[in-house]
Amino acid sequence: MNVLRRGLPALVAIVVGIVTLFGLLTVPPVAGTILGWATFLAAVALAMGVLNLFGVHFRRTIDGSSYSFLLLLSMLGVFGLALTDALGFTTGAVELVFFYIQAPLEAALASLLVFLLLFAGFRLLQRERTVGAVLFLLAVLFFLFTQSPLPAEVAAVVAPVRATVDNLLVAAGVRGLLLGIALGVITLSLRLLAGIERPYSS
Amino acid sequence: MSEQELVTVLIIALATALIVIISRRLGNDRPPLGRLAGPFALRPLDGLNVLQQQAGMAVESGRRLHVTVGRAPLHGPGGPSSVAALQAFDYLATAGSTSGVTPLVTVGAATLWPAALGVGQAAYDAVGRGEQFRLRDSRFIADEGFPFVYGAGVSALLGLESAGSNVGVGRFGSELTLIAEAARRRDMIQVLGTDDVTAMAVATAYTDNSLWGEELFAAGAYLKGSAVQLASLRTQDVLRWLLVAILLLVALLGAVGLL
Repeated sequence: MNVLRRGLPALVAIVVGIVTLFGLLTVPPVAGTILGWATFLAAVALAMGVLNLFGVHFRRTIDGSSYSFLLLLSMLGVFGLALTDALGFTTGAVELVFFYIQAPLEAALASLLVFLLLFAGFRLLQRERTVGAVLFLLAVLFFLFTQSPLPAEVAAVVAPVRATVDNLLVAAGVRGLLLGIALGVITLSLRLLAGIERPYSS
Repeated sequence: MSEQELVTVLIIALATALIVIISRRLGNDRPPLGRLAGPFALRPLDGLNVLQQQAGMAVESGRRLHVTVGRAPLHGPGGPSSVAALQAFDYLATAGSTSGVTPLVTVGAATLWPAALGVGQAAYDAVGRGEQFRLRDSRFIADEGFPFVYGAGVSALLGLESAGSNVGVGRFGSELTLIAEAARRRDMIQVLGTDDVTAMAVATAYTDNSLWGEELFAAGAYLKGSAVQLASLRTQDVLRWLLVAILLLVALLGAVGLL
């Protein structure tokens, strides 16, 4: 029974993985069908995830958390608007919520990141005074400066320097990292396809 | 079969052949660590060494370990990084299951929630403590389309739960800054690993224990470490040097006008 419990998921995963890989190379519709099943399962997983989020915050609301209560209220509110949109009582209400609440909040958070990263760069330099730490901080300051609105004369001088740094140093570094990642993905995929690693059945 | 597909098949065949050859040479021995320890030696990965210590430190401090596994759906192009992140979580959940300090796992993609729940539950079932891993120990924060909601949600959770360390592995973007900053403010030990270039910069700024790109994909093999798994890591290193040699050769041939 234990062998079946451990072996069956592995067998299914290996067979489906190999069929998908060779399907992509030889019979794309077969791979497309399997990927379609995965997309359907992802939609089911999303419903489960939302229920999990609701359950966790429902418990926290009972324990007296006002933030969780607000979150539940927002969830139910947006769900209600989606229903009224679907039934034709309102038009584009969910989009309006996203446009006027979600998008500005996300934009505000994104704008904070520059300063958080700049301070993190300073702290890195305090923590370790290495060449790497100095380069990191200089790079942050350089890109912050060159992306700021500059007078035309200054921008004319800075732009080619920025382009050179972008095209030479940044592009080369990023490509090197991406090649390493690609090799990592290949060997991990081979281990999964061979059933050597089984994250789906410990 | 197109030229690109042929190259794909050749790379897969070459990698498979190298794994078989290296694992046969190694037998059942674990390859040594260190750059000078022989032709089959593995590079020491500091980030993964610190990650190995996290479960023990959680027991000593009595505070939970928080693990967040990113926001790449399992069925998308970022799937491999999520698989690698789940393997790291599997290792930590297994270590936590024997010590009794249950890690808290958060996810930023719908498909990762049942996967993380399954990994955690299996780790606890394996030691006969299945009832100790509860549904609320695995939390869905946001779907992959809302990175800042995910980042803000995880950072808020770090303040609510009495976590002592923060492990962020998987696919992140710049929202990793919010998570790392929240953990820093609470003086948590952090291990951050990702395959996203922007998030790599964030990880470098916040912790010395970072896993860059390919190191993340090595997590499962490095942490669990059977001979075949470690042979595949050595294969990765061999393939990288091969790639470097090809790039240099092509550049050289291009420079002298032969290409």
